[in-house]
Amino acid sequence: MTEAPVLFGPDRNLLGILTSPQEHETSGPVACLLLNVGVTHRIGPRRLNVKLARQLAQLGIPSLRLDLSGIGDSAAAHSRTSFREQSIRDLQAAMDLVESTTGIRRFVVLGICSGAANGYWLALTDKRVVGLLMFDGFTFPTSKTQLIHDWQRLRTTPLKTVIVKAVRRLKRLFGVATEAAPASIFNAVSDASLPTRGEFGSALQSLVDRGVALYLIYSGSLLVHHNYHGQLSDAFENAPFLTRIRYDYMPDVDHIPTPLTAQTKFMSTVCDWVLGVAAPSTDSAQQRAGQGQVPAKAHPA
Amino acid sequence: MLPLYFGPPSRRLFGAFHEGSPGRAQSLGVLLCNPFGQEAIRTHRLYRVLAGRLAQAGVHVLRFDYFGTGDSAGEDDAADLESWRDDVLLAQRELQRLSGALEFTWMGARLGGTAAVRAAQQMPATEPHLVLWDPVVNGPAYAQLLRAKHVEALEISYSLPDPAWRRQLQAEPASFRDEAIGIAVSPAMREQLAALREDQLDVPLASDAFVIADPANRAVQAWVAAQQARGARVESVGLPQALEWTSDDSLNAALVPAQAVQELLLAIDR
Repeated sequence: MTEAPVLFGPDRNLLGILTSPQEHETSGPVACLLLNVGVTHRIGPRRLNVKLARQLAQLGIPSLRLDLSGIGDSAAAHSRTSFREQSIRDLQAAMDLVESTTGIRRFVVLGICSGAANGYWLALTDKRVVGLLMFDGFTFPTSKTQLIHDWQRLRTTPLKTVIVKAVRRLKRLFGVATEAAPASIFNAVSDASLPTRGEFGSALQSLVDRGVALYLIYSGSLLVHHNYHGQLSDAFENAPFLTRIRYDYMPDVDHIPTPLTAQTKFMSTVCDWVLGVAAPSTDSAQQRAGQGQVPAKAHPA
Repeated sequence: MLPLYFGPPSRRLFGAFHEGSPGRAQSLGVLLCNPFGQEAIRTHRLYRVLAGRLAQAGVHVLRFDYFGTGDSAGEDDAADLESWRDDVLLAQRELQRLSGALEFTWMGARLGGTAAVRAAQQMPATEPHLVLWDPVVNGPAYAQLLRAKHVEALEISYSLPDPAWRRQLQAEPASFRDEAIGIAVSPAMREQLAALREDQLDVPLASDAFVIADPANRAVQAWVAAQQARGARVESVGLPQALEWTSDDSLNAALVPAQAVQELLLAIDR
């Protein structure tokens, strides 16, 4: 395995680390892009991108972990495009670089949180993306999500706090101003241009129709947003794409995996899935990646 | 900025060299030494901003990751204080090679400051000017802080935290020592922190140190007084805690407190 720093992009303002397996160990014609999570630089929270890159290289998969314009060690771009548009351009420049360096033209994008959103916009734009993992990406709560959330809160909150919150709710009901509730982790990284449920469903359908392998994982940090196995199925009931993507709810893994045991589980799951996407076969990338694992009915939380 | 790997094949370190602006080139080279784990991730942006400002003023700067940290080779559990000391010396040689500078300042925050002092003890002939920001001078207290902050991070991160974590933290001193907010803590690091005391951090008499610290940090203030009493050239300035070092707080904000940057620039420029 080798790791090399690269400066790239039209202004050579983007910095990444290209991790390559030994030549004879390359296992398939895909490379991975490892994206920023929030404003954390390319190593990722908990150094997760470095650890993932090295595990992937052990499995024969090259990867590029990079800083988007204005994040980490990449200078801001000169253009005046939106953050989303600039992110897409940066990631396309990253694919250009890997393509010119390794000859690989098929990419699997691994995104956590805001990285999942950036990967999603890229996949919709560029057909070189053949696999997309979204960990704590967009999620759509159902009425069951709300019920579970309320029950869990009630179950774990001291009686005094329950009463205080109930009084606050009553005050809100009767128009008495109270302080705004703090944003959750997920809300804090969301922007105003999130896709609607319909847009998201259509987008996932278009991606699977294009042959893109999709893997959606939700952590145990999103009580308000995603809190039971099968929520995705309930949120998109009967959508055809559900049988062609892979989905997991991992309550024992947190939003940016903190315990080393959670990191191990997350990384081995991701690496296995990437290997499935990369495996040379006549089957589609979706079949190779073990898709179609979305439970038809919601499981009990 | 030039990104590069340096060091022997068995110990490749990642570095980012900021060449001093040619029109204003000085003979000064500055080495920026990272703190530990989550603290290093949180200060990445601040170090980059600081390096950029110094380079604009003509100062050559090298940022680097210790072995087993950041983009450098090695896994988390390969990092320990003694190897950090050696990495500071390795990075100093690289800075010297890249810059041709004649005078050097080593700036380190938290455990990075500790590593800088220990490296200066090993290489007194270099006579670096040390800038230490909230240095860790008492290892056991820092190890205890890491345990507590790790549990705090778990409690914040999981929607349904396990109440047993806090009970375990309080009742079992050996619990939560192997990892700190997502980063493995090696047995060697644990042992070295357990043994680290203020009296092992004597600033070489050939060097001088400028300490920026929270006035409420009594351990650092006492260490500064002890250093001055033994005749070391150590000065300090108070900076009320500019940021929460060991935390996931403000995960999506780049933490670059302006006052801290200003104080660091003044201290480096002395």
